[in-house]
Amino acid sequence: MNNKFKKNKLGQTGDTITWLVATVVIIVVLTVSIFAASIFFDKNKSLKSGTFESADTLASKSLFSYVITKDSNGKVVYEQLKEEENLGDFDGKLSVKIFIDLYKKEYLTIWAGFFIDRTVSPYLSNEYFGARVFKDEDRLITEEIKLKEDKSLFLDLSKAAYSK
Amino acid sequence: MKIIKNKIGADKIISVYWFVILFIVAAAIAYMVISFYGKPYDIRELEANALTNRIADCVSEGGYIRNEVLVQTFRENFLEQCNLNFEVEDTYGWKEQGQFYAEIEIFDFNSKGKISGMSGGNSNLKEFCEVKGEKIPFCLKRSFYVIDKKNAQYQVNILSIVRKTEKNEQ
Repeated sequence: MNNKFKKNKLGQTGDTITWLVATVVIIVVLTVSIFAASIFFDKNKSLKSGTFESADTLASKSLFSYVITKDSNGKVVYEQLKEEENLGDFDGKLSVKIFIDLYKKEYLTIWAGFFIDRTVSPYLSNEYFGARVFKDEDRLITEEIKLKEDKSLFLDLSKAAYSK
Repeated sequence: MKIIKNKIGADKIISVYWFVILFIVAAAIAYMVISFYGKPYDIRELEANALTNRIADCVSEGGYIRNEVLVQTFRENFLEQCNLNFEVEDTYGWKEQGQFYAEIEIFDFNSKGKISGMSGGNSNLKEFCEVKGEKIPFCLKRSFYVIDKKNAQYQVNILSIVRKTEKNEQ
């Protein structure tokens, strides 16, 4: 009889310890979760302009005004770009003045230049913007102006930094 | 008989224990969900961007600056000219204190000399653009290049400010 009581007591102690440990584990897991939730979720959720945008209205307007600008001889930049092999003196310097000066604070990498469809490396490097170095096309804002059937002017803007 | 009674007692205690644990787990999950979904989305940057784009569309058309932009009457009531409405909902006393400010500055592109300027909304918000800290209005300053029909080149700077600090803590 004595042995039987002893056995029961041992069983009850084992059960109690199991529940006690389980309770402690549950409370610890919940405390950690609540603590993590209050740290990570307590800040305001913010929707940035780049969350949805794949275009920049102001850069697009600048590009459009750029191609209709006339040089001192009255020749429109669009016509110059159509004829040139690469960015020339007037349109090259003007593009740097517009796109680098106005947008360098907002974008870390800016490139403007020709896209020639028939060549192996279609994006031509130029002396004003260098070679096109963008790797992550998803994060890129691209504006294109068609010059000829196989030739376009590209303006690429990225908030990511790429080394040249 | 004694053993059966004990069993029933133990089962009852475990049931109460389970209910307590269930309540604690449910309360913790509810707290975590509320702490995530209870906070508002801060869309002031999107609002300021939308305002900037709207102003840019008002100032330039087809790559050229609109002729009337440089005229005195446009400068005096540019909010009406650009169809901008800065009315807000009547919470946190927002009706008395304007929640938006917009400013346009037009410069000569080459000399950078100021040609014209106009503004609308709560101009007191402008002083917060240089300040860093919590609960301050959101400022967005952007520029674009534009020409007129005579090929004169301009730089247009647009400053858009959205307050609404009570709903959004930065």
